[in-house]
Amino acid sequence: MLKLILSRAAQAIPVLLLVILITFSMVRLAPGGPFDAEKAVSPEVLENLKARYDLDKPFYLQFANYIANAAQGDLGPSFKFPNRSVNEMIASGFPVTLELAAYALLVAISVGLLAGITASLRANTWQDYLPMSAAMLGICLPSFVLGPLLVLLFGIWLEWLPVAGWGVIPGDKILPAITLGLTYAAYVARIVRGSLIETLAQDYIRTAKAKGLKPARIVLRHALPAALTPVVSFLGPAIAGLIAGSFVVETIFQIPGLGRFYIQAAFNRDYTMILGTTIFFSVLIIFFNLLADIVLAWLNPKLRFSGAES
Amino acid sequence: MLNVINLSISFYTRNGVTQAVKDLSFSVKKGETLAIVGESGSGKSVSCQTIVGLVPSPPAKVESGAVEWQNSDLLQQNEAQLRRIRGKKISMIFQDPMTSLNPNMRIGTQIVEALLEHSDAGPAQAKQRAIEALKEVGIENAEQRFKAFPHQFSGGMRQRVMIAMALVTQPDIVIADEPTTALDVTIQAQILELLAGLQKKHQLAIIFISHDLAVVRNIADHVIVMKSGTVVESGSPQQLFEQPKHPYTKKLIDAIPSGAKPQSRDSHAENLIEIKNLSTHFHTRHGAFWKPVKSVTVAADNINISLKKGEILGLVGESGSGKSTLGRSIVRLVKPSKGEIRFAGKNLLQLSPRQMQAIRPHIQMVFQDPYASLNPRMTVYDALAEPVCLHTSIGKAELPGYIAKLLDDVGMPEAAQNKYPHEFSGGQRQRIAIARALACSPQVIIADEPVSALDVTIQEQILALLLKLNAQRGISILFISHDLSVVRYLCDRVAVMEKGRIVEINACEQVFRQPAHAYTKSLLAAIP
Amino acid sequence: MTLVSPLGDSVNHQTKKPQGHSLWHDARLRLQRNKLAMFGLLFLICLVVIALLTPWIAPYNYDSQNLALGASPPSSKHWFGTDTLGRDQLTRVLFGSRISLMVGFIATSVALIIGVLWGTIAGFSGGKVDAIMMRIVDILYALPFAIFIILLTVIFGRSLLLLFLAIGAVEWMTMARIMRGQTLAIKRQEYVEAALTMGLSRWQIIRRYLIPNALGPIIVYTTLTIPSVILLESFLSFLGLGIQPPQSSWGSLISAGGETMEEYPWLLIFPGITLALTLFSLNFLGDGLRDALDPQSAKD
Repeated sequence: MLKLILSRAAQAIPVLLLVILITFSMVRLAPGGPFDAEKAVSPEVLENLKARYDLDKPFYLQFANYIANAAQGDLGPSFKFPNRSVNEMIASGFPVTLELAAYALLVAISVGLLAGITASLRANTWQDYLPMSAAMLGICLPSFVLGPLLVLLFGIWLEWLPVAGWGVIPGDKILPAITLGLTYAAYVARIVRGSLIETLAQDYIRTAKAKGLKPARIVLRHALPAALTPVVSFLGPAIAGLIAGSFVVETIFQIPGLGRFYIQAAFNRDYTMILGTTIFFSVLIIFFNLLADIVLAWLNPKLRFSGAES
Repeated sequence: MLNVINLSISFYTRNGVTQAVKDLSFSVKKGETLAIVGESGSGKSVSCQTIVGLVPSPPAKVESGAVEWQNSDLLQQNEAQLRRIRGKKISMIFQDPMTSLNPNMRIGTQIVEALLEHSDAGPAQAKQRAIEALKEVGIENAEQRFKAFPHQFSGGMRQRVMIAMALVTQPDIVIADEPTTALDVTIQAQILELLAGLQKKHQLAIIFISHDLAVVRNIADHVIVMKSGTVVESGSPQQLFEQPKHPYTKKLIDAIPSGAKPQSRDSHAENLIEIKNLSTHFHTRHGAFWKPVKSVTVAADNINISLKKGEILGLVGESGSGKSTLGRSIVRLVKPSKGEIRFAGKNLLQLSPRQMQAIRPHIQMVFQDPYASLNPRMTVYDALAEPVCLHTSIGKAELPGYIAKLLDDVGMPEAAQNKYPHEFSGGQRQRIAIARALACSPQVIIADEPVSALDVTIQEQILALLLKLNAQRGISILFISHDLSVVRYLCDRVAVMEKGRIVEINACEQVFRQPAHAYTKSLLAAIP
Repeated sequence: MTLVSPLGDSVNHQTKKPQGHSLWHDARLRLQRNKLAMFGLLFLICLVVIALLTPWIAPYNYDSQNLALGASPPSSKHWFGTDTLGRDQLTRVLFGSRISLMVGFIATSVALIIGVLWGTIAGFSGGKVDAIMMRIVDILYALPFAIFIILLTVIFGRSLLLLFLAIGAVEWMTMARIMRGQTLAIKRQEYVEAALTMGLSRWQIIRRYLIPNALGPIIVYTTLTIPSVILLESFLSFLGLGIQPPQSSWGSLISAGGETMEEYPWLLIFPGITLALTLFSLNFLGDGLRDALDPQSAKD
């Protein structure tokens, strides 16, 4: 088991290096220098600027320096706001994004599991069709449609919840979390339903029934652990999706999170900020994929305990 | 003890109503074994699972009847009442222990949970009793194995675990649904012996469901034979075997291949295929890709064997003995590590793909699973025309007539040719697969377990077809099988394989009458 | 949908004989019984036809402004109302459909071609080739592509072509995995082994055995890829990184509508509904196709 974790972690390192290399080269090879758009600056100032951002050195040295600094957790200064470092901006934006993503994940898992289990146990009745139609609605209404609609309904017409903002009053967090989480709740519900129906048709479920076990035990102890496997493997990509989704939700609700900084940086062509955040997001996504892989392996006794009787 | 009276069950589906069981009555007494025998679709499993309420309703519906048990009718009980009987008084053992045990749960937990549900034993006490039950079914180191997962056991051991699980609650009745069908013949004998011993010790009533009349013969006190949902005959095994009354029972008994092949061919014919010093090793890599762990499985170990012109050579062995690998090596589906396979003066293993192409029409193969061996997207006509167009000079004008003739040879109507494989039954598909093998008039057919997926009466028809082709066309057949009685019925010579080696090869009757090798003896002793 | 017989003459031969029912035939019957899927199919056909004919049937020009009119609610002259510049919203939604559907179909085709080729080659070759090819997919899979696409659009500007390529480059990997899984599963089937012993060439096996049998799951997944591609494009346009004004796609219309929804909700609602209905139809059709083509359900 430990070997497996180590080997998966070792595989993540080249992936991460690849991400940094691709991002770094794209940013460096981008047409137009970073200061072209600015008002004319004197050559000396330009030299100074270049030196500050390492641009006077050959590409491989720039890359090596960047990796060395990044490995120590230093992502360099921002292009746009020279007196702020990328680290500071991530430090101020990320906790907000993390909190939002955590609430959204909570919505996704709790609503998704509940709907999926109900639907599969009552397959092909209204208790199945209703949550599954809702799930289809959730998948087909992307967050950038759902968000404004929710705001329109609850914020503007009913005036129950605030339209935008973050952390001023507790109600602030409800709409963003639902907007971001509902799509994933819909996916989770569909996955749980499908895999639970499949698991409940397995021979060993028949065995459990033949043993006279209570229905609750059969579902929770025998069927659910196996049925959750595809949900766990979905969570890796879901985290990546949540991060991308946070760009939208933070824009709609004007939340000062990392996603919004990223989009602003993209518009401002703040290259070091883009580079730093991309790497930061990549690390996050790779980490959660790794985590999902490990949990999956742990859930499977064949991987956890290998070796058969001779 | 348990009386089933006039039980009728129907299935209501979109395509209409099917009556699965009609007026079934039987009873089983303490310490007695009742066997229910029938082919697939006879309703034998459905009726037994209905007794304990395991058949989902809908689509199933009990139309009439009663199941008397301790002065009550089980069919009138609600789910909660049934649950207290299921697993406590009436336990079940299923066919495939690999899929019937929860792969994600330790076997100890799976045994203990039944006890915790049905008795007031505490966890510690339940564990003690579970370990005792494991010891009783012959699991060594029961204390340690208690914590193991199903995949850490072999097939036979898993079925023992399943039996321990069924018996730990000390039930009165055990329903065993094809409990040995998925097992090798020697393991089957062990499990049957174990069940008989446990029955005696605990005075169990056993309902034994099987498709195999031969298995049932030695263990049952009473046998009922079912066909399409109805009982066609019942009685003691002696009565049934010696004086079968119903034509279907007779057919079933006749279908059990018994005795030797009428006339064996002379053994002086020339060799058609010669295999010399053939070894096949499989290399598997696992572990991380930069630090692979290589392991080698020996599937065939220095094999020397030859197939004579016009003979049927049986290749017998249990799963994993390497018999299929040997058959596949000849048509180069598997690449042997060393040795030679000579056919028509050439070593097949050294031929280029183009040279091999000239050989291919002469050596054809028939596979085990008739559901998987035909391309589901091709009509029968196209499937048969494909090899003909590839290897023969038969022109487009003659093709339809040729294919009609091929189908006729294997006993299929001409109308079959425009249909697709899924529109046929298993036996019909196997006939089509044989027709495809015959399409280029081969000299050799390699038949890899061609009848083991079929019902016994269908088996007999396919075997008869193979005998006919052998006699009329003089085709040599390499017949690979795990079933000794089939081999005895069909083959001129038999080779016995164990762990990649041929341990014995001789004329068929010689092997059956005077087996030379200890392994052959144990195989023969295990025949039910 | 019947398969072309590999032998031309069998066709006239079949005319006088009772006809068998192919699996495709059965699947079509099952699909026709699924009302939601048929509704989806109908809606999509209408949408595609209207989108194709838009330049001729659209009531107004997509960038003709009427500042005097400004934003007006739906009326008999402007069914979907007008935006703040007085442009007809129905026309803009229709032209948006062209962009969104085009991105959906072209990017999906890119994904389909790369993915199917990659997966078939990997699965059919097996061994080291397979291991290396799938390792590449594994590594690429771990990359944060939504972020990469944003990066690409920032650096190389916002062009439609880039959008097709970028989205196609993300989606091909799942297709490759599915196709490889199919190839491996079919390769293990006894009918392929039978074809090998008959001496069929690789290409014949791929053409007559592999592709017809793998087609079902590929069709299903293609149908389900189109909505996720459309969604991805809308997502980028919503963030302002996709289609640039005065051109419009559903995403950019929704983005603009979201900003003014308090005063002019119709600017958000109509493009939102169109997008949601399209996604609904594609998903229902995909689900219906999956049920119809699934070999498991082919038994009854």
